[in-house]
Amino acid sequence: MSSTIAGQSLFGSGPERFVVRPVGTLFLPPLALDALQVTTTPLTALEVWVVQTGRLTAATDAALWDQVELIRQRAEERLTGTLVLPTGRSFADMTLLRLAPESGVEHGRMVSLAYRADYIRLA
Amino acid sequence: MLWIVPKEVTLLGEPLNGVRGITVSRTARGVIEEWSDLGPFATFVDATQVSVEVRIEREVREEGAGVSGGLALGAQGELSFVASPSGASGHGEAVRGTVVVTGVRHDLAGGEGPRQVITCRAVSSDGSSDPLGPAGGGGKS
Repeated sequence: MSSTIAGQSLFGSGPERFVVRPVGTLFLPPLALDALQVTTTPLTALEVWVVQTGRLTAATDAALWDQVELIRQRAEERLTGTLVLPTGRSFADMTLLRLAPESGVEHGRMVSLAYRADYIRLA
Repeated sequence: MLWIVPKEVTLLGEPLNGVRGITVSRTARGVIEEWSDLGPFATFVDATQVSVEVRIEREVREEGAGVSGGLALGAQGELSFVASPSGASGHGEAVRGTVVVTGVRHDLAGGEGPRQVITCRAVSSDGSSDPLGPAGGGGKS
């Protein structure tokens, strides 16, 4: 089973993994602003941020770039909905914001592209 | 692949006599291995960079450097031969490809007389075509 965002499976052609970025409160550590700031300064709640890494795969270059183009469009549209991971864990109100290739296109048995995608629960 | 006693062996435009055998080894230099969040085993593996090594073993019948003694490491040219797996068939398959010489070694060991081993790496014309194959066109890798 592949992940879905707002009910759409965009990355199902290849392997995918997920990392939840720090959660809790955003804060400034001592001395971050100046020498007089001697204590930690809490600011606000951290946004929920999930990073997806994986590899898109296809039989041809054209089919691979079709997938990239679709994901780019969804990221520009700020596709928002529930992010459901392959493990079944879900995160409500997540927005797909960015897709970043992590390397060049690789040609082996399959044509493939390593990527990173970012989902954030926007305030 | 292994060809025993191939015929009409030419390397970089020069005939090569006394060839006992030619082997072709394919090794993945770039391997992609990916895992999922669901378990410890890789769910995607692919070989994205393949090195094709050609090894030519021949008897050395002439003194001195011989025909192939002047092979410069790094020299690029065509290797061609007629493969005859049984050594007896008169209808062997012609094999051809572009290679770069990466090693020339001589030794006196063994009971079959002096021998020379030439190693090469095969070069693809476009990166996707198999660099060594039947004369008239290699297949896709």
